[in-house]
Amino acid sequence: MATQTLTEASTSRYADANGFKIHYNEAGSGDAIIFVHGGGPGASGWSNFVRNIGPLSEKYRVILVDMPGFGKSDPIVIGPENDRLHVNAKIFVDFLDSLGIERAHFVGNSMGGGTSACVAIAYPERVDKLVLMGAAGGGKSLFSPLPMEGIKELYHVFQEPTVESFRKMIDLFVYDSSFVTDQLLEERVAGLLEHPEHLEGRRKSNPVLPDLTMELPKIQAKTLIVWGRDDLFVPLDHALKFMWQIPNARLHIFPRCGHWAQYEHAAGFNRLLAEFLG
Amino acid sequence: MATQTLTEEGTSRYVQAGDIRLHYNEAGSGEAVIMLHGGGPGASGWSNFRTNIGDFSEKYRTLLLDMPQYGKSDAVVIDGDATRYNAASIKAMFDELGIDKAHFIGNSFGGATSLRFALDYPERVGKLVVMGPAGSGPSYFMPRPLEGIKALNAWWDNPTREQMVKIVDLFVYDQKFKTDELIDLRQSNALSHPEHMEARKKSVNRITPDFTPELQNVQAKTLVIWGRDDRFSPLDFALNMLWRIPDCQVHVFPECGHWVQYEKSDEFNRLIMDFIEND
Repeated sequence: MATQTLTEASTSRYADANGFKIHYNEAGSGDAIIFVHGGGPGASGWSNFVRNIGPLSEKYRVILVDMPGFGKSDPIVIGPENDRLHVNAKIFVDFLDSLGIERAHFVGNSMGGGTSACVAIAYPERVDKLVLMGAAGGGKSLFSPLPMEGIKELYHVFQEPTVESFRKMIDLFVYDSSFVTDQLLEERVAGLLEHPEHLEGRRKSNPVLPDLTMELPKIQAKTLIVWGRDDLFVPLDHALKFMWQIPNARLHIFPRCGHWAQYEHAAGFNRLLAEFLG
Repeated sequence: MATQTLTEEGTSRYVQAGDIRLHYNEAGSGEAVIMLHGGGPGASGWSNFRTNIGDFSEKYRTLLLDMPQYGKSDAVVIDGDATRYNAASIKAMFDELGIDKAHFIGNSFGGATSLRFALDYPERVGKLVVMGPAGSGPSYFMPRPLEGIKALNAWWDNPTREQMVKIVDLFVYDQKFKTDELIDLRQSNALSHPEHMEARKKSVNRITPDFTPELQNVQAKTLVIWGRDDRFSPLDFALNMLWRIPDCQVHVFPECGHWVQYEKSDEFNRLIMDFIEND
């Protein structure tokens, strides 16, 4: 199996996105899929999509991007006049240019979902199919007071990056946290502290994400929305909002699943994705 | 393609199931999959699932049932909960045919019947798939009955072709599916069995119950499928099932009405076969 031979180190690459350094992991060949991770502390392309790159790289050119301000990509400060989703979208298009990729599938989780939606809104010609998991950018919830419980803990970790605060957040992240070992937590926190420039950049950045509701009807890409029933970070009714606002969007909801469908339900998610991308 | 060689006549079978004779279409071998149609006039196993039996029969023993009071199955007067009567009839059918266990795929009223069967005979059910099932009780958002259900009721009162056009118009999202062929098939199916219409009229106490309090007892792994633009069954029932049935996935198709198996047949077939094989 390709999954067993792929490592972070062997797939690690850098690109110059119009002066902004982007780190990514790449494997496989065929149509390109850009995987865009979420905005949690210590997130990176590899850590978010480690269970997906193997199976999907058998058929596609899989690219896991470290978002601006994450992993081994350049740090960034989002000014008060800007918002992270639109800034990211522009950098992603520069990134595609630097790799000579005209058009790719985008698969985005949480903040990466909001970023992917922004690329599809602003640069429709660059996006083939679009997949959003627990995507940010849905604005207000009809049912849940915001910020949700998980987002509060996420901000707490940025202020106080300890194993204890991280454990609290991860417990909310997934439906079944039994796989979260001390070792995994220590690695994630070490990874976070390894990049103080990202922590600093996040603290200085405009924390407000834009409400994309009224822009979503501009999305031309065929879309798949994936949600975990038990998501405590982005409310389930946003799945319905995305489904109705995006002209052609199907929705799949996994039970016993938190904010990380691609991780908690990796096998089902990978098959769903392969079927949707065709 | 197997679909092209299968015909209604070639797959037509009868079975005595307790006190009722049931008609069904059968093709293929392997694990049994039974498909249960909805409650609209002119519905039958073949008319509802003719675009699905081909793909499924390549891997499964596929049975399309004409439910009691429909198609070539017997006309019976049903008093009370029709899903209970139907589930018991299907159990008798399985006993007669030597089917220990089947995967259930039920649309609308057939979805409600599938839920009833899964609750009453859990050991006889593999995976459970329901599309826009009836049995939701009140909707959180939409006053009942929905527009489509009103159109069905109007047809039972006055069974004109014109009314059937309205029904089919509401059934599908993409008007390319609203063909004369389909309308005529449904209309002639419905009118060619006056005994069913008679039995239905006499079934004055027939009800479809609210399954909400029982959903937590569904043991089968469940996939709930909905058309986003369904005008017969309210979408919020999908969320009701998502939260109450212990292991329940939800999949919603865009630009799709109440007949997902017809409007999105290829994707529908692949989604369900993946669910049966892998989950």
